[in-house]
Amino acid sequence: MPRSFGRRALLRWTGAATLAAVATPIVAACASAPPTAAPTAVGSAASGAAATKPATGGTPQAAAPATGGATSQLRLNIRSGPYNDAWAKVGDLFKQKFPSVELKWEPFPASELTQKLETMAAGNTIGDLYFINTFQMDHQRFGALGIAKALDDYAKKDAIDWSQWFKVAVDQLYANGKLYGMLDGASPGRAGLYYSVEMFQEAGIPEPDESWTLDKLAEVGQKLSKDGKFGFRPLAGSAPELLIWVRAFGGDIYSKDGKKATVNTPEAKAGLTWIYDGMYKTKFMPLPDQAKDGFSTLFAAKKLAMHNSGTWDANASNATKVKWNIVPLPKGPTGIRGSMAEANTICVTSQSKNPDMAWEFAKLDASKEGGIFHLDLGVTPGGRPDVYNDSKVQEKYFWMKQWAKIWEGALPFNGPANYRGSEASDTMQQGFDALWIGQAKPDGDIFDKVNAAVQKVLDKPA
Amino acid sequence: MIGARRAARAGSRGGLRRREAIEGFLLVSPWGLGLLLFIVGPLLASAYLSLAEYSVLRPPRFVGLDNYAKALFEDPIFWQAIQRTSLYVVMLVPLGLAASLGCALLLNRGVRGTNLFRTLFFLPTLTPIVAGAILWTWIFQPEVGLLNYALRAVGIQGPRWLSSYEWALPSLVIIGLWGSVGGSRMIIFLAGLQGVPQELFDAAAIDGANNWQKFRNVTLPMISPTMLFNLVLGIIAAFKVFAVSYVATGGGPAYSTWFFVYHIYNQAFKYSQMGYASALAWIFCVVILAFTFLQFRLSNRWVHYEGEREDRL
Repeated sequence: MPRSFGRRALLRWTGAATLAAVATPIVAACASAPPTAAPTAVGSAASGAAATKPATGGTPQAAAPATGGATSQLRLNIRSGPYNDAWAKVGDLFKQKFPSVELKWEPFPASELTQKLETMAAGNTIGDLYFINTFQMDHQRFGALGIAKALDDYAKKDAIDWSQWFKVAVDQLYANGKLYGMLDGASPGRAGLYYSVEMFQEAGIPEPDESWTLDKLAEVGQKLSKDGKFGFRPLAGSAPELLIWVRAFGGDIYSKDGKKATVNTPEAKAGLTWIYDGMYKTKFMPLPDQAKDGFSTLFAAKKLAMHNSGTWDANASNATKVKWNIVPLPKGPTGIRGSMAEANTICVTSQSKNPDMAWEFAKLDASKEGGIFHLDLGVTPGGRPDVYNDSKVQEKYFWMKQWAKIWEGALPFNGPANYRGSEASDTMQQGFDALWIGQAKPDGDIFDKVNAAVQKVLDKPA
Repeated sequence: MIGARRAARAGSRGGLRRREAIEGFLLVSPWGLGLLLFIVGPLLASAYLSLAEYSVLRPPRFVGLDNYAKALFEDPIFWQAIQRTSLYVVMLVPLGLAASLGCALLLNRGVRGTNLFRTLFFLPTLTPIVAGAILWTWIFQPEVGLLNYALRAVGIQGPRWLSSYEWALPSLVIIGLWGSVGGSRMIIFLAGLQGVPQELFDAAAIDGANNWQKFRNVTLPMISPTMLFNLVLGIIAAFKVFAVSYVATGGGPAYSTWFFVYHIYNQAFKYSQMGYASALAWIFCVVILAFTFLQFRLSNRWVHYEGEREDRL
């Protein structure tokens, strides 16, 4: 007599099967948990000791074209949008050279990129190459933490000629004395003075030139500020933005070793007071909320004559349909032009299964061709004099001539020695917000308060 | 033979109960496993991490209660975040409850177009918070924003809203109200109102009660359990405010909208201080638990349950 398969039996078997299905991978995972990732201890930045263990597993192999044989793969963790498109163009070059290497793109939005990379590195799932930047010190921190592979041996083997790139940009590739990437792109910071040619012509005022000082900027800015128009919009939020004004007055926001906050020095006070006065006394600058969505709305409406920014805003300026031009940001009373070299980097991960090919890709990305691809796609161009000074490039992109000039005097990068750039920047931004919203005056103790708060961040361990 | 044995087993009540229990456990096991793996596991992990220094990429290092001490005695933003969050809760919750109850009362009158109004009131709840926040940043724009434009039309110079230290927080309260007044809270109030027996209103009318007296002495006591439910959930939700400050103000200006969860988020995901962020999260959990406990204790004084014995009051 055949046995009936009833409801209860069905439940029993289903339950058992579910349990087995769930339990098997868990038990398997527990039994064969992979060893924790390569991240190593961060060296004490304060001591300057190169405590980070090089993640290289040995000398690099000769990067012979991978013709024939098994197909290998490179996973690229890149910022989505035009950065991804620029890497894709570099990828086309790479495929010509290494046709058997498969490229797998894994783009992430800019706002999530750092966290994604960090999480993937912790979970041993990061790809072979990643994109990051230096201005909040994520590149340096990732290098020191061992997420990136030290590339000194590769650079030595290929006898890389570092003079191909701007020195102040190359310097940022290092952490604890080791090379942790190549230059994807670089700019001298928010050191360009963009201006509306039409607004100057309509007002009958000569256009800005290199001889301008910040005093002249204030004087002309006031003339242009009437009928709801503003003469100049400064970038004055994050630390790299504030730094421009502090440097123009002879100061800096951190000491050279990155261990001391210096936003309460007379120079820093003078620099930031210049912005405050522009907003509240001479009123030729919009308040932060009057240009909350950036410069473009005011600029397009011909209500803003000038603003400062980096290379990346050239395309945004084009989009406003306003006839515009650019000159180096005027010098401060000390004769210094405020700037700070910043870099985007391409790094080989210490977990890469194919570091030799990853290095080859990084070199191509940092090449002149790679640098121009970036420019073509509207993102920070390659940090190379031969990109900025190329006559064809300058012909096609008129602003590049001015940026080449700005590069000549670009000041070096400076950030916290403990790599807490983001935290220090937030502390500075929230602290000085009180000035820009009129909650505090520059003659009060705001500078000491913010300095003390930033110092607390700098005193934290790396 | 087998059939006889089965019949004997089936006859055994103990066996049946055991089998049903096993089947019950099997049925809930997927949920139970999920609970263990994705809720209890991370909870225990965060409890441990709150006692450790942990930056994701390095193994946790046990530091005892250092993270808690740091939060309470060293972190200047901690108390500021507590203060700003509490202020937000104090402003949003009473206003939100009153407005939701008001909407529910209007809908409960059974006027024509009730369904349309219910849908309209509910619509903001369906709008993603990020989209809503971005929309409101435009409305609050001091120069060209809709709100100040309307205020100017009646001769009032509006404030700088999101860019003002004093007004940024109330602005976020307005966004919070817009997104929550007509939502589930209103629906729950409506259900509570529809559960109030008509005979109580009839009796009150016979006693000569006017509308306000009926509302004060009949409606409010009868919906007080609903009120408690909405109050508890409302306070918890308000304490957890995050997205609106993340999108609309970035915690500023000058920390004026730097809420507690925003502080936790920054510590965890921006500054990679997972251990410290875990400690902050546990402190936050204790604060919310304390508030909830307090509300339940105080509820004895004002919440009335239908059919409840007098001596329990």
